[in-house]
Amino acid sequence: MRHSQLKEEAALFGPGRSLVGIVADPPPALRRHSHPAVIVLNSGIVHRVGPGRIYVRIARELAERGFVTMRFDFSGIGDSMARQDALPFKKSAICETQNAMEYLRRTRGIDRFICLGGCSGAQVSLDAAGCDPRIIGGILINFQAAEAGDAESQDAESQPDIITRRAASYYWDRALGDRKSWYRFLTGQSDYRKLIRALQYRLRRRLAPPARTRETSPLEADLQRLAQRNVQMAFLCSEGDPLLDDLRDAGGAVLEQLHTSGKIALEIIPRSDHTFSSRDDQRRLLAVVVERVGTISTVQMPTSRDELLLSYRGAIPGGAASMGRFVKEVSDEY
Amino acid sequence: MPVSALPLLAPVYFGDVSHSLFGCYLEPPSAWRKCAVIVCQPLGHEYINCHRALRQLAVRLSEAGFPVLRFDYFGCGDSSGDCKEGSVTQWLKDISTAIAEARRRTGLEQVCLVGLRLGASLAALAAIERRDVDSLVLWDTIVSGQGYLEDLFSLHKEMLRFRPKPRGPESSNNLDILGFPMSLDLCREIEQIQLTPSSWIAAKNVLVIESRQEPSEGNRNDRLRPVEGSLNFQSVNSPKIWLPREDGGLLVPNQVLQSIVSWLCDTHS
Repeated sequence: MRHSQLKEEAALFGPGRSLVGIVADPPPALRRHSHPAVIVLNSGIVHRVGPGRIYVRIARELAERGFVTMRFDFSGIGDSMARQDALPFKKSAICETQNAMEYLRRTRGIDRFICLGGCSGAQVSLDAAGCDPRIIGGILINFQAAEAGDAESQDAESQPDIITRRAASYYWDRALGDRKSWYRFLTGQSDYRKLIRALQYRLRRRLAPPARTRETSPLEADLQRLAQRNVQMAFLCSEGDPLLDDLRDAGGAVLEQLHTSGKIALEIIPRSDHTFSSRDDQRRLLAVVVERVGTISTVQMPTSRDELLLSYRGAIPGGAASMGRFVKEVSDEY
Repeated sequence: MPVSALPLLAPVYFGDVSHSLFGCYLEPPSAWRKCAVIVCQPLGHEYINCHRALRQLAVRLSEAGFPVLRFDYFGCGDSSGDCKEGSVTQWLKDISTAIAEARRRTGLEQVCLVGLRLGASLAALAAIERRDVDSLVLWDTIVSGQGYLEDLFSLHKEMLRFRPKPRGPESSNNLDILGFPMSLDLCREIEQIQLTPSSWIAAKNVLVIESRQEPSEGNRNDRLRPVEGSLNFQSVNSPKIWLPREDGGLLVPNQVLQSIVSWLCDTHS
């Protein structure tokens, strides 16, 4: 599809104008001032074009449908400069997402946002939505629930590295039914150590799912708070990604309940892998993202600042008062 | 490092409106050398995997006094166009557009093209075509377009082993290589690429740099070894940063970057 009429603009913003982003503006005839803007967040350390350039396709497609869409690099990733302070990524990523929101407010007059991100970008979307009432929804693609939540349960035995989990998913879901894989196995061409490690993990998980160390996981608590504020979260998961199991574990009954009641969307993208590494995957992801953004943008949210802060009370320590300070601190950087 | 010593960063769109190109222009923090550097990036998944290293290279070059323009070809990165619209002919035009933009921004006449993988092949072809490129850095150049395509197809096949099998390509005119479409016309253009040492005598100074992972590993590009005094060949112990890594990491090969910066500083002292 040619995106001949949309306009893309390079932006330098944030502290010391150190962050680099691209704003895709809809063609003037399609711009809807009631629409929220979509902010696209880095997936891991891949720069803002995203794996397979999927973020560029998403941004342009959404702009063609009337949504101002901004993709940018967090500090130290892609073209953005490293921060000069010692703020940890978990905090700096939220601040920098708010910097992007502030840039769009100042230059486009937009004050409602949807955050979209894959992998670690999904985690930042969730965290930012928990911190800023201007965020009305999130599209969380292949959310890493295991790393997000319960640090207490993350010993090497119960949470092996992502490579082992991916390998387990591959061996269990695909290789067992694949003739070529069996041939490699029987002719000594397989990595037996890796195979045994991966299958042990999978069997252990089937027989004894990870024990919950507390009644409500951090993810469940976050989801409950966001649902109370009517923030629309959509989890999009690749069918072939082992992170789906982790999400179901960490989200527990709350995720299931909110999903059943329609307050949270959970969609499986069939035949896709973690990074949507085929055009076929990307096409299906794009269609789901467009649909979800359209749905979220129609949801009515509190409109006045007082209403926003009231709905926000309790989401962070100190409630509405400290939230007001946080927003102001970020705004003052411009 | 104090903030004032950082290069000045300007992300820009330039060129024709219908084919606008995205670039990151870095201005040296202090004394300028009399040569602007244009970085020609690789294509497809290699572009993603090498972005971090080439960004680091641009920063180091600008800190050494070179104004640097690192840009995305049409249909790549943040530039306009869809991946499947890319062609070698268009990308050679894009290099010329980037050279004009660098000259306009810096007021410098001398330019150096630094290319990696297919970006190096395009840089060499552009230098031959234009005959006004002063220096050329060819980093792990694709010498044979046909060999490059064979490697790409083989890697794609290998990667498919570890994921659900996708449906066929979106059209019979496009192949899907690791999530990047490649038109059959582009395949044919790439197949035609065949470089020899005499191909780039057009540039006054040439550095051919090759990564090897083991000291014992032979030089794959022996045919590129220097035939004249102005050509410099370096083989550096370094990972092949353009290949996908299992952990998703993006590598920055310090030794290669250092070699390039040192050579350019010596050449344009």
